[in-house]
Amino acid sequence: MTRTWSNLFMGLMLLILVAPLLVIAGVSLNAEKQLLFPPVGLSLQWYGELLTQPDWRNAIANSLIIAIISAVLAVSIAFTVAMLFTPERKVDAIVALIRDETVRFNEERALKKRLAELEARVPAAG
Amino acid sequence: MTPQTPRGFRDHVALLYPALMLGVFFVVPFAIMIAVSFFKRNELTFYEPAFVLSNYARLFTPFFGKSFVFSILLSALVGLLVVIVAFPFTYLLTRLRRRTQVYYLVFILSVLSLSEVIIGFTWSTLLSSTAGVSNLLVFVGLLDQPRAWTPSLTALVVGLSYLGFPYTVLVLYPALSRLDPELPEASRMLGASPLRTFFLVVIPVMRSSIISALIMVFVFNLGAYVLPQVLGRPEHWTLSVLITDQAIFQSNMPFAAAMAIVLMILSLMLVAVTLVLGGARSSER
Repeated sequence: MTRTWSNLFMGLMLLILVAPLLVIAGVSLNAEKQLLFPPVGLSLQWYGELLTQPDWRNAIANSLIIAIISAVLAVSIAFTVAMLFTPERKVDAIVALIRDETVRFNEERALKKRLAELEARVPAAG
Repeated sequence: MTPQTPRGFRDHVALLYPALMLGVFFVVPFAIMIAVSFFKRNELTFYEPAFVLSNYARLFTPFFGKSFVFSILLSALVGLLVVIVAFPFTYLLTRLRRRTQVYYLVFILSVLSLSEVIIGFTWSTLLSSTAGVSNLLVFVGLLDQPRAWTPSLTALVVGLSYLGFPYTVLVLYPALSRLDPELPEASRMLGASPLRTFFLVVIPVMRSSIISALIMVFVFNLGAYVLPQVLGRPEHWTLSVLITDQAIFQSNMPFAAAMAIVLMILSLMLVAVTLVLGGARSSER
């Protein structure tokens, strides 16, 4: 019963989310140079133009380059800033945190190794 | 293991990078904006250095006052709506099989890539009387004749919600997928229904994520300036539309800067209130 409702909810959400995408896909097939929906005439000419005209190809390249550069910059800045906080949400320097992490990693590794050794011994004993 | 406090220049070198970046890309432009908000308007050079309060004084008129209230209420309403829908959606999403989740997330990302302009256009098509959803309702027999639902406040709320939804899902997803599955399982084993588990276990545990998602959609919606023009009537134009209008079309940079700063202060105050209310409830328990 609840399962049906939740499936219904997810389905409805998908439908709402996909509706604008369908409209856009439909408009892209227009033969006319207008934003018409439902499309008037079917043609792939806009896709052809997008891929062959240097202006549009240049725009695609620019979009990709700018998106990649800004993603790298934004993530690198946000990542280093986020590292300024300890798990206890206290402001701390990135260096102290990295140092702490490496110490913790080493301890964990040693612990796992010890555990594996102990586990290896168990079947022999039992 | 307590972190050692960093000492000396060597330990702080790594901090130079974010500090420099934030300084160049955030602090400097922001300081310029604050300075410009006190400048005088000049037809030729956009603005000239001065110290006048007239830009701020102009905001205290009924027209702009109404716009402030409308923008903030609209963003808060949409934020609430989006989180109410996106939270159960994300919760159900995290309970699906891993592979299905990936498909959903890729789809959500593709919706995220739609720009405000495209969202505005598609929703004005979907809500129009010529090619919209109302034609479907006529076909099914629920309506007598197709109706135009745009431009209207409802259309604007729908468009803004659609814009904010994928962001909200992506903000809630990490927190919800880290939710210990044993919590809802324990609740179910103790005899609570799935709905009761959702409302009395999942929501309280996720409260801080819900509050941060609310704040994020709210701030995000405040910045939308295309949708109010495409899907709303002129009386639904938010402050972002007016800021764009002043900055680009009226070339009144000082006034646009003053509006932006006041809007930021007001929304920060609302964010603070939300955080205090959220925090207060947690100390009660």
